[in-house]
Amino acid sequence: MPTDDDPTDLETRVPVTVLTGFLGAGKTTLLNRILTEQHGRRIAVIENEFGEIGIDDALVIEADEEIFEMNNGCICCTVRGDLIRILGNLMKRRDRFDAIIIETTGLADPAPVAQTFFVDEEVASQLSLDAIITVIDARHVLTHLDETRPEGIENEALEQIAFADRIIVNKTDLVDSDALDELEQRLRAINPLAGMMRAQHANVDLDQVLGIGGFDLARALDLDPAFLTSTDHQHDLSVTSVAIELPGEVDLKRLNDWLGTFLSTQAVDVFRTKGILAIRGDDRRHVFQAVHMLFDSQADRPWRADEDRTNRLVFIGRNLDRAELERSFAACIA
Amino acid sequence: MYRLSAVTAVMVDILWAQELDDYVTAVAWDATGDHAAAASLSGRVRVIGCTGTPVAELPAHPLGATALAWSPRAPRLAVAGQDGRVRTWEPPGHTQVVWEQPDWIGAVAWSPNGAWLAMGAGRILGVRHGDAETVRTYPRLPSTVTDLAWSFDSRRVGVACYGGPRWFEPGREADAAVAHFDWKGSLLRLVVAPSGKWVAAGNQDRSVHVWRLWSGDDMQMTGYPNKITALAWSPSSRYLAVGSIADVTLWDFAGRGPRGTTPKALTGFEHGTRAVTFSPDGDLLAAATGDGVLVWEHRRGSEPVAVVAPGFAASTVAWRPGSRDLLVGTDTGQLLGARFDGTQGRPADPGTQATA
Repeated sequence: MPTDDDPTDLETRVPVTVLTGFLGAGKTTLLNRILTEQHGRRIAVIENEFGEIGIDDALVIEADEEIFEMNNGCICCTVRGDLIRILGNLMKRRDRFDAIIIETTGLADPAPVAQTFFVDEEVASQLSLDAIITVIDARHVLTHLDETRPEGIENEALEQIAFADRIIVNKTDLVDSDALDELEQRLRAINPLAGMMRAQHANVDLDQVLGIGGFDLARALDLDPAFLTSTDHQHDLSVTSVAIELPGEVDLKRLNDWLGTFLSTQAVDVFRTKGILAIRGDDRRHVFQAVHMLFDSQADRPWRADEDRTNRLVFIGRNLDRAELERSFAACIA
Repeated sequence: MYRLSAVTAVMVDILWAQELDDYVTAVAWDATGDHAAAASLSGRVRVIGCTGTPVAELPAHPLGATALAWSPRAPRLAVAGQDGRVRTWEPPGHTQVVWEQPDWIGAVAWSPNGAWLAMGAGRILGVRHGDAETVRTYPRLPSTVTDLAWSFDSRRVGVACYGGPRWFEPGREADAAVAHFDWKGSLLRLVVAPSGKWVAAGNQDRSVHVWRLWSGDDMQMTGYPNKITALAWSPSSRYLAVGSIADVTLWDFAGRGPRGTTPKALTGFEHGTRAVTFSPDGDLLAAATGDGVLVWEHRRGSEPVAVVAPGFAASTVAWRPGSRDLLVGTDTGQLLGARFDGTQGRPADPGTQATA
């Protein structure tokens, strides 16, 4: 449920960055760049596949991707048991880490990793999921996206893009610029919220990758949401997004009831939900995010006198009914 | 601070204190109470005498020492760590690496007769018999072994992992589990009642599951606000203490058992239960919490009668056999010896007759 958590909670928690992307996309290259350039910061790395990490002073722990279901088998509440154990022990140590990076396997579904930060209270109280960074190989990603899968089998490349907070389009030197533009358009249609960065050998500005968190979410949603509507008529896409913008103040109870019901009934189809909300009786903006049906919100800065109190919600997923979403969200306005 | 009940206000004397160095993951006394051992997340392991005198420093376990256990029958210690090694130690100072695995070791447990040592490394169960050179390993389990518990007769070892406890009989040729209490949940703790009748599992999904050990009949306690972090049976097997992140509750297994009842909630702290343990006489329950070690006369009231080291987050606690002495480990790496000097000479746990 959205709560009025003290925003300072965010700052005391250690940020966790999740790196996803297919084998060969450039995850390990990016990781090595982070560890080299962030020399002096204490970073713990949790890896699934022992890569060629060339840095000695980072603590590297190998994880055994171990996914289990919570709540009697609901697929949306799958979490990573190995991460709960490893992160739990990391946070007990006397020397604290400035940042934790989790590198997933190439074929990993990012949802259980992200959901671990919502479901386990010990983890949630000490760590915050800063961002899911998806690294893609500009030359090969379309092949993976277009792969036809039997009914009910997920396309991992698609999921990794849909869940991302940042997409690094890597190896741009291997593709011409028209193809790149086309590719980015395609990615944006799947996930309009993720910041997109072009890179060669993962040479991105690390300030755009680490420590972006809620700030990034607020900024993404501050952009004119008109760009979000461009995907409406692309029926060939299995994953799309719907953005809703409505002025007025939200009744917290009605919103909780609606979101709780909506996210739990459509949990499998709704990958991520993000939003900025104006709550009745609160001077602050509320930044909201969900992974499948697990959601939380944090109070953000106060609304400025010169800005309209406007609610913005973005849903990324399958089979999204824009008309129904708009109607039911409008019913939450006080 | 804590409100102490006026009639039972008791003293806790700190007998000694020393530094280990980092978060104390485990403390344990040997069967006679002559030696205790403590392990920390820095990897240090120390053996001490009953007054805290240092006896031995064991080789470090890089990335942290995670589990330790004394044989119930001999002064033999088993210690394990995230480096995937299990070591044994015997006085005056014989150390040996008995198992080496690529995955970290999360649990070690001696059988009650001291003949077997069970170890969980990642998804692998290993069992060593006596002084055997080799460790027998079993086929990969569905998820990491989080805890191990032996049946009272030392025949079966229960493995806690995802999907309910599985039981193995190391005396048999076959590798297959001899029993599996199938249940869809992630088990974190597994404890067998001293009576041998029950086995309880504390779970990630905020529940406790209890089975009759030999029939597999089960019951479930739900409604906990957080995952279950600590679990202990009283010496008489009458009570099951359950620690979650913000509470400790007590289930009464007298008579027809706890089915349809509500547990007693023990109060007095706000932050994190890491361990619960009954005193050897069964009269006291101690919990290591984020607010120190709390001690309850659990049959009398729900408020603590004493707080050891208030202000220190206690990570673990153990009673010395045959005494009311406590060994406490803290989040920041201290080891404390304390004596609960309260009401003495109380009658034995009345549950002893009821469940015999």
